[in-house]
Amino acid sequence: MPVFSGQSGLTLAQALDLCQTTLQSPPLPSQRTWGLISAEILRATSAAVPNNVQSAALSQFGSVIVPQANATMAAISSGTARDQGDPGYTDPQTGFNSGSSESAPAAFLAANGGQVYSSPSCPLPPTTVYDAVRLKLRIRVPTNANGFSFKHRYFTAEWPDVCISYNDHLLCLLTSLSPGIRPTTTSCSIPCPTRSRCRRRSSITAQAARRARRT
Amino acid sequence: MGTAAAPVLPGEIIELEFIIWDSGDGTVDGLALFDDFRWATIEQPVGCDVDGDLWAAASCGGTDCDDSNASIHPGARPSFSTGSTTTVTAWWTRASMRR
Repeated sequence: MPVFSGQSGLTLAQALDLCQTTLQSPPLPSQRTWGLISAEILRATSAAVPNNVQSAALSQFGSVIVPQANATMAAISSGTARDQGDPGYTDPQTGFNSGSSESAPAAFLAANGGQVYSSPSCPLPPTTVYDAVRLKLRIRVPTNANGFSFKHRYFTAEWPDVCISYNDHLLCLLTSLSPGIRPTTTSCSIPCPTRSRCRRRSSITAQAARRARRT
Repeated sequence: MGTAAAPVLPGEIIELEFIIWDSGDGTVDGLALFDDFRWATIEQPVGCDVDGDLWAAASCGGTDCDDSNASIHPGARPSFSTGSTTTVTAWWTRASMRR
């Protein structure tokens, strides 16, 4: 069932199909299993809680986009994470303004020369971000796993106003000891439709302008 | 939907964060959907995980130094009653590296 209000990080993790939970420091060795240790919905860098309408577990988005596995998908938005007709929906062109303002994630800035990553042919985005939402998952990896994958889709109301500093950003950050990951907190790779904009293998900042307009 | 993937180490604790933000107009919003999280699993060849603890034996290039005992593997708590001092130290080192 979709969850529009009172959702937690755990709700979104479950919508992502990450359902098994575990403890960071279990009292017994036998209880040391893989799974989700914690799940939080936060602002970009602070522990403040975003507006409730900015995240949800959706059972569909429009008439075409449906869950790829199980009954729901995790949704986060710089506006409202709602489909038309859902409670709290705001037209994304008109937009939702939560009033929040903060710095972009420090680890991401540090890994990109103090800037928000962008295509070289576009103006640099500001390092102050607005209406941010962060789903932070802490996970113990199964002892027989050496990687993970997930499915994603990004929609923006800014199309076709591409390559402007106002474009929204989507970021996925992975902190891992894997030698395949850069030493600092690093992004996992989300393929971009325009390869030239994905010059850094590990950077998946996805400017809003890259994606198809929400229909 | 597109698919994203990344490598991890078996048994480690990772942090995975999804962040979306507006870059200045305060309106004209974006939305991201995520679904179908899956692990990429390591298939252990026959004879490489005799104790069934999911850690491959050192003889197979894995990190399980005792593939006959499921309670002994990287990340397991040391057994002071049975382990030598050297072994205990090694286990603590490995365990701390994985936290």
